[in-house]
Amino acid sequence: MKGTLYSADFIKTSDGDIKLLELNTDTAFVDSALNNFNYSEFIEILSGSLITEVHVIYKDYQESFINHLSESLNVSASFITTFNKTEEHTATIYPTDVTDSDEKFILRCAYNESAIFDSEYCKTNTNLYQLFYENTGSTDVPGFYYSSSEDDVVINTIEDNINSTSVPDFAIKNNEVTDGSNLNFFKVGRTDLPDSTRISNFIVGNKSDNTMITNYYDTSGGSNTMKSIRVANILHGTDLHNITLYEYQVDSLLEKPSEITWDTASLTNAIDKKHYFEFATNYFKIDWRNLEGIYQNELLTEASGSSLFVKDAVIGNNYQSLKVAGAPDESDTIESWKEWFATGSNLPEGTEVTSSQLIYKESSSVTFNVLTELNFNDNTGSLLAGPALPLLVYNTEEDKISYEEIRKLKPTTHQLFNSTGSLVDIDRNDYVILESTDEWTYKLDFESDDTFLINEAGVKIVSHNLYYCFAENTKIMMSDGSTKNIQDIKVGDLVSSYDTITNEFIEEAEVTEVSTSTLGDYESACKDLGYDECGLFSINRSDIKFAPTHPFMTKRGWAALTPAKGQEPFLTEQSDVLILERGDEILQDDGTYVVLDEIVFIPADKDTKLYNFSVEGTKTYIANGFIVHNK
Amino acid sequence: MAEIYKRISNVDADNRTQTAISNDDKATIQNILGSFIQYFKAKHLS
Repeated sequence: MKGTLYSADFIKTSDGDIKLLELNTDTAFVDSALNNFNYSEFIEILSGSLITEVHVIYKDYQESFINHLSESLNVSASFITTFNKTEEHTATIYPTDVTDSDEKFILRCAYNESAIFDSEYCKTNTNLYQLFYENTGSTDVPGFYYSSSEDDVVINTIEDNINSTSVPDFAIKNNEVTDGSNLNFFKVGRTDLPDSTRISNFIVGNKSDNTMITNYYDTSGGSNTMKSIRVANILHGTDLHNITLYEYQVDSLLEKPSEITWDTASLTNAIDKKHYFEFATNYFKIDWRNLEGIYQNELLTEASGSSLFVKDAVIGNNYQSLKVAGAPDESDTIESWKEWFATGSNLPEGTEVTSSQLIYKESSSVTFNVLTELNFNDNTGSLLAGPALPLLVYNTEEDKISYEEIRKLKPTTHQLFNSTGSLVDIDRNDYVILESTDEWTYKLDFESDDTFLINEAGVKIVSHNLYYCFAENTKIMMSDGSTKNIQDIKVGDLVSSYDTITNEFIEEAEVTEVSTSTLGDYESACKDLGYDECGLFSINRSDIKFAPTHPFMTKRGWAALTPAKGQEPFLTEQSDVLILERGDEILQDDGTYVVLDEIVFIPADKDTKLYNFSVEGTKTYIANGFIVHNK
Repeated sequence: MAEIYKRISNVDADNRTQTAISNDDKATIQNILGSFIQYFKAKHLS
C-alpha cells in the first residue's frame, strides 16, 4: 500500500469563509505541531490492512516528523515490526521508488515530479484552482485571474476588494519558478480611481501566461499576526482515502508591519521581500542553495593568520583549518562526518590548526532574505550562515564532540570551539530577515582537512562537497573554435556549449566558476566500480581522462559511470539516473554520436589534481570533443 | 555585516501559536478536501 504525506493550507477570511490556499508535498512540521498529531485513524488502517512494515521516503528537514511517527507507531502500533527509512537529497524531485508488498505501507513524504498529485496540484496552484473552478467550487479557493494564450483560457474570479494601507491587495505567483521565491505581494495604487477600475487595470497590467494573480485576504482578525489553518494528511490507496493527522490554526512567524512602503500614485507596487513572512504563514523557507552557505562578509582566516571576507576567498589559496585527530579525512562523505563523534569536551589529542586549500567556492543569492544567526557569549560577535552549515560543537547533555547543523543547535545544550580549542557559549540561535535582497552566501570546500576557521574568533566549521572533474590537459573547446587546457580556464572565459533543451550548440557561454579537487575524493566511486585503488577513466582510446562521476550527454540522456544521485543533472534536470555503459552513444562536438566501445581504468595517485568549471545558462561544455555537464 | 530587518529565535519560531479550530471549520475543511479528491478522481482516475 502506498500513501503520500501532504499538507493543505486554508485561510479564513474576515467574512468567515474558508478557502483552500495550497497543497504541498515536501512538507515539514515543527516539534510543537507534532505534539498535536493524531495517528489513530492511520493506525486503524494499518491494522485493518494487516500491515507490518512502514517504509518512509523523506528529506532531512522532515526528520522530526519521521521520528515522531516512528515513536508513535512503536507505542501504539506494536504490530508494526519494521520501520524503514529512505532519505532523499533536499532538492530531489524524483525520489526512490520503493517496491510495494501486501504487508508494507510506503509513506512518501518527498515531492515526486512523476506523481500527478504533486506535479499538477502541489507545484503550483493553477491546476488546483482551475479544478475547483471547472467543478463550480471556485469560492472554495481564493479569487484568481489566470490566462493562457496557448490554451485560449481566461478565468477571472477576482473579488473587488482593496485592503487597508498596510496590507497587500494581491499576490502574484510566477509558475515558471517553483521554489517559492516566485510569490510576491502587491498593493494597488492609483487611489484617485474607483476601486473596481484600479483592480481591473492592475490585472491588465500584470497578467501573463506564466503568472496567476490572486486576492490577498487579511486574516489577522485585528490581531498582530496573519493566520492560516494548517492541515496534515495522508492520501492513500487506489480510492484516494484521506487521513487527517493535524488541523490547527497557526500564526505567521512574524508580526505584521505597522506600515509598508508603497506609492499611492503608482498602479503596481511590489511589497518589499523582507515582509514576506509577515504576510505569508509558511515556516521559514530557505533556498536549498543557501542551506550550507556562509554570509558573504563573514571572516575567513588565511594561512598567514590574517582575515578576509568569505566573498574574497580565492580558489587555490590556503586558509587555516583544523585537523581534528580521529575525524574522518579520507572517506570524505557527508555521512561519515555526521556519524563521527568524540567523547568528552576536550578536542582529541593531536588536534591542531593546519592549513587547507580552497578548492571550490559557489555563490548564491539569499532568495527569501532568511538566514540563521548564532550569537556568542564571549563578545566574539555572531555568525550568519545557512541553517544546515555544520559546526564543530560540544553537546553538554551527551558529553560528546561532533559536527551539528546550525539549525539543531540549542544555547542550553551546545557549545562551539574557538581557535585555541576553548569552548564558546551560544547566546542566541535566531532566524534573521535581511533588510536587503542583494545579499549572498558562499559554499566553500577545502582539502585536505575539510575544515576551516570562520569568524575572527575561530569557530570551526566543516564543509564538504563532491565534484565532477577532469584531469589536466583536457581540451576545452572555446567560443572561437580553439581549445584550451582545462587548468587554464578562467572565470569570464567564453567556451562552446550545448543547450540540452533546444538541442543546439551554443557558440558563446561564459565561465562563471572554476574549481579543483583531488582524485582521492572519488576513491569510493572507484571502489563502486570494482577497483581497489584510485584512478581516472578514459573512453574509446581518446585522451580524455575523467572522474567516474562526470556525466556525458548520450542518446539516452545524461549518464555517468557512477552517477552522483543528489547532484545535477540527476537532481532536477533529469529524472533518470543513468549509468554510462558500453554501447551508449555519446554526443560529440560535430553533432554526431559515437558508440562507447571501450572504458579504460587508469590507476593514479590520490593527490592527482582534477579540474572543473561552471558554465552560465546551459551548464554544459565540450571536453575533448564530448558534450559534458558542468557539474 | 548584514543589516537585519527582524529576528526571531529558532525556539520561538518552532513554537509559534497554534489554535484549535472549531468543529464547524473542521467540517468545512473536510468538505473542501473531499471535493478536491472527488474532482481529482473524476479527472485523472475515471
